Amino acid sequence: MKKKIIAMVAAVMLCSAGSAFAAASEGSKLLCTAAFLKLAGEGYEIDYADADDLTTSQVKRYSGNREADVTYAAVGVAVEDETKIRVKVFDENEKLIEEDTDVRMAVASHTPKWTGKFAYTVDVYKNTDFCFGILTK
Amino acid sequence: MRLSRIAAVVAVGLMFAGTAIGADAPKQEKKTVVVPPSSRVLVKGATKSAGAKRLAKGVKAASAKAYGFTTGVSEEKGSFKLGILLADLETTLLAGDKDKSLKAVDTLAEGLTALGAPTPLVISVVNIKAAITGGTDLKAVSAASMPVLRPFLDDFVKKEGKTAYQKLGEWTESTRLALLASQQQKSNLAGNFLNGVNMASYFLEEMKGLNLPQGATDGLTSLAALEKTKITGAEVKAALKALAAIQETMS
Repeated sequence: MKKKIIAMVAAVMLCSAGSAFAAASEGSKLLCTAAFLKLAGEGYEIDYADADDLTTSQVKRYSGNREADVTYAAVGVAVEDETKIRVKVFDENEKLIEEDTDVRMAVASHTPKWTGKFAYTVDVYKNTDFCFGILTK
Repeated sequence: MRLSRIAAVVAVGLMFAGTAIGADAPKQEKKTVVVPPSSRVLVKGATKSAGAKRLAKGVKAASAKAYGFTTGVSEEKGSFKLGILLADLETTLLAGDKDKSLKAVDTLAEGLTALGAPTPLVISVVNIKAAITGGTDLKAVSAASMPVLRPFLDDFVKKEGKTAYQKLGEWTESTRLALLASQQQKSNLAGNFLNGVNMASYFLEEMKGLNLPQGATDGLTSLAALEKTKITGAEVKAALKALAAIQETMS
């Protein structure tokens, strides 16, 4: 019974996460959804999701105001096989406060001590489609 | 032989250097996307300092009729109102206020129907109502249902091209509730909202050319001027007046 409920919740989360990546191709959508589901298991939920492509000479920046005492995970997922992706978090003074680089998925978490502006950048080590999400706990 | 070895070493060295340069060389910024905070995050943050119950006191338990959903509403205004309802529902669920949650979820379902939302989306809202009516703990409903509902709702509004209106509704309502709660408890919550998460300038820029009603533009301009660290009681009142003006002109 418990397993059935977990499977149902996972299925609903899968549809929900898939919907968040509406703009992505089917393959990318599945991959991004699976990566985000992994974090959902750790108590995170999707607050924002985007899908796009990047070359190695580009960086994509996301900025916005964030609430104090809420834990955020900025997640980048590279769709191309064996591709390193890097996510950085900056405060309003452009000071780097968190960074993660990894193959396929990078996660940079932060819990702001004050409410204010933060920015995230994503760049890749190989041209690839990618998705980016801001998850909260 | 020796020369070819040296050449090989140099080539490998160059390759590594190339990788390092490739990773750290200045990159061209493709595009900056501004991500306004969702009402879920705004409400969660405000709840931490003001408490959900205090926050929920400011929620108006308005019917679908009062929102104009029963008599027909434009996609712009409808999306704005969906944003307000999302913020209200998030707040009242966290506060455990069953009556106000039911009112918000009912109006949300009627609003989505009036705006021509796909049936599965409306059904998922109706299922939230069933969970509330069935006595499920409202915090559990908030934790399990809202993160699932939101991407579908966002997706629907995005397809209609009205995301900015929904976000404006979410932001004005979350800010209004936070300012009202702040007045009751005399905390710095108002300052945090008007300084830290003041999105008025963003909306003015984002919605330029969308022919926002004058009252909404004026309200946003007044709010943008209040983005500062020290906020007086009179300024909180002025901010609430501006928020009311925006909500009124968008209704």
